[in-house]
Amino acid sequence: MIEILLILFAPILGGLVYGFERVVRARMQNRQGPPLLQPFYDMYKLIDKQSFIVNPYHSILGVMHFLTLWAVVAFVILGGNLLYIVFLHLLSVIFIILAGFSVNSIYSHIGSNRELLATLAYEPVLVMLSVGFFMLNGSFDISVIREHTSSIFPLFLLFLAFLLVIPIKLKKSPFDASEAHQEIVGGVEIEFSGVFFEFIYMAKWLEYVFIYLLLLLFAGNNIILGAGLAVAVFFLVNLVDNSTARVKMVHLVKIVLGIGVTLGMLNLLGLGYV
Amino acid sequence: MKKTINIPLGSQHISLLEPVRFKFECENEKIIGVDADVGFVHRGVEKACTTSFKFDAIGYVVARVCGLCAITHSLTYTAAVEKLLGAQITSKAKYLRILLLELDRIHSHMLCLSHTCENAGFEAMFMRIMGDREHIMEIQELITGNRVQFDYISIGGVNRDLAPESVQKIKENLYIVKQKVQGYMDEFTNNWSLSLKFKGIGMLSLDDAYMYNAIGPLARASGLRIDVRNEIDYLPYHEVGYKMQTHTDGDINARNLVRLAELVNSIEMCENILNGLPEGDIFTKIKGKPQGEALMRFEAPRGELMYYIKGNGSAMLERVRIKTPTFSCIPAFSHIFLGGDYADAPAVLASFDPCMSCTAK
Amino acid sequence: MFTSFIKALANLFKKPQTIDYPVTPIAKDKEYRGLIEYGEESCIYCLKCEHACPPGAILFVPVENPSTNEKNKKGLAYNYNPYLCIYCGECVRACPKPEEALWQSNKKPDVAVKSDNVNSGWFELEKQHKEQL
Repeated sequence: MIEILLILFAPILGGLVYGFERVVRARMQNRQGPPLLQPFYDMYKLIDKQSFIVNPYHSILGVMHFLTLWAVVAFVILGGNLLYIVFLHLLSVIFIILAGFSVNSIYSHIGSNRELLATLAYEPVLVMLSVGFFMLNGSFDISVIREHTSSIFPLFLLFLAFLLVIPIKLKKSPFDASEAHQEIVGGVEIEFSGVFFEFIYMAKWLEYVFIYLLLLLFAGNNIILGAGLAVAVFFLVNLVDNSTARVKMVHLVKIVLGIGVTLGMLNLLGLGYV
Repeated sequence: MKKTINIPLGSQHISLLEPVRFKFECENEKIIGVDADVGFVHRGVEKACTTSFKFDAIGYVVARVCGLCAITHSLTYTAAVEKLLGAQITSKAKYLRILLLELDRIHSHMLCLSHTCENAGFEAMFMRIMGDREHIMEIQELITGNRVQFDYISIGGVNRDLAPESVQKIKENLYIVKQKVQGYMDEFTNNWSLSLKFKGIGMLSLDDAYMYNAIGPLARASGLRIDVRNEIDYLPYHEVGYKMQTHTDGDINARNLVRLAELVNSIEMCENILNGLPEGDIFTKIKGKPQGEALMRFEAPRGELMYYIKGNGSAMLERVRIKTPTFSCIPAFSHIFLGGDYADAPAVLASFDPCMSCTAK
Repeated sequence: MFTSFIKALANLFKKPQTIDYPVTPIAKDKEYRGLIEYGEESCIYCLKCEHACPPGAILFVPVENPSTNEKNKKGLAYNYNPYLCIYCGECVRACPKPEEALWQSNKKPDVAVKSDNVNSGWFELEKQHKEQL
């Protein structure tokens, strides 16, 4: 019962986390941030704006991106199969990339190019994460992983590789080149307007929920360790965001693919021998 | 099938402070051709100076050509008119004019540095430098009454005097800013992600700087030793401790370091002026109407600014011609972009410090 | 990079530097460049302030029942537009009696609304001024 409620209110929870994060980021820069409910005020204002439909495929793909991401979050809460979830998440990213390519705007095309390259960089790490959980627990199912004890020590190198992937998904420095709003004016998001932009905005909130739920898997059945881990990673990601600049795509792919895959392979080989 | 795509850094863009349009012809994000278009902010200032305003009011009109180098425009025009009328101003007025010119240079360089960091994706540094710039804006409000448009210089001297109790506050604020600038030098040289974005990008070699006629901090960062403050004797720069700052690399990092070094030198000049300000009047009444031609050059924060005026004995001038520093650097800009990536283009553009309101008067 | 990291962490525990301005008032300097104020009794109607103003924010136009000042030979009245003024103080410097007839205060102008008829009223005055020349 409580799971059905969590699934229905997942975007609202994501909105609260996003709003709180904006206040924390502003305090770190020595200024006063927006009010806590700012994402919801933005939502009310966007509904009033005029929604241009550039072509029907573009708008439908944008809405499908949001719905697929909500389905991913629903499966994680209900305890489905981790490998299927990783591939369903890849499907939702493919929807937004196709939406970027389907219009005639140069900034949209460059944004989709960069998003595709970033996906190439982080997908291997997520697949290796699922394999690592399988080797430890004997099953891909999330409900089984949650019954087990915390797996942060056997999977420590995979945890570090996952920390490298988080800034790409949450669009934070140093790895936020795919939505670089000073260079390509927002990338894929620029052609959406009105209600359709609202769907993309809510999809960003759902990414937060997805990443933090994956983080809780490392803690197993130890709830206190899970909460502590989530809070610590939240502050770490924001501190790194406020102390680095944005790197270019070529460096992003080299760093994440190089270091992430190496750490992942080392951990899996280690698990195989023990 | 076409091999190149055209990406506009259009007249309206998030990373631009003022409207300018560059059309880049790119092969897969590598730039091979540049087309520049300035002139979106044209307001017809030169025509207005010869038809609607008398010669003693034009000092206030040309201050509104640009927001950041406002007092340099006003000072250059006033100095040209004083040369035509054969007027002498007191030495206290000359020192107060240098003080404000250097304060203007400090706040303009801080704005340029913070904008360069923001275009590289590092918003926290942008907020930090802007927060420290507030100390300088408070001093400017204390001396002249306004934060950006000073309206401080008129024909014959300056408008407001410096009260002795504000000298103490000015010195405190200047000391605070000097400490912070040491922190910035540290950060600009040692941050790993900034060095990926700034070192080796946007190079201009010494021969190219000489051939394409670059001026200002852009040329001094490539090793070319030109500075108008070194060449004029109208204001006593060499007595207050001016030193030219150059660097040899020519990339974005070198330009940032040259601006930081000029900041420190300007703060020292301001402190020297405050310690040794002479007594006297600040304003002498000047009579007469301008007749003949005059030409005057000064160093704005971005380079050399030149005014040419021609009068024929009446209250309205016959011709006012303004040559702004960014306009001279446009060939150098178009040359630097070639061969780089599109992802670097906003950061390189912000490091030139373009002032489009000056360029399209 | 680590100095920025430590600084961002330390900033979490400090008060923010920004002030939410209209809600929290800030102190105004007494030398603030504010509105120009006029003392009619000491004015000698030399019209130097009108010639000195760069944007033309002071206009003397003839009216039907002028003031009873003996220097007011042509029957003029003083008009000032606070929305055209640039607060430079040239008029105060040009006036022969700067403290009694014309001086600069430190008050701010009020916000104008459409019913104040600022623009069309001023254009009327400019037309009347041009006719009397």
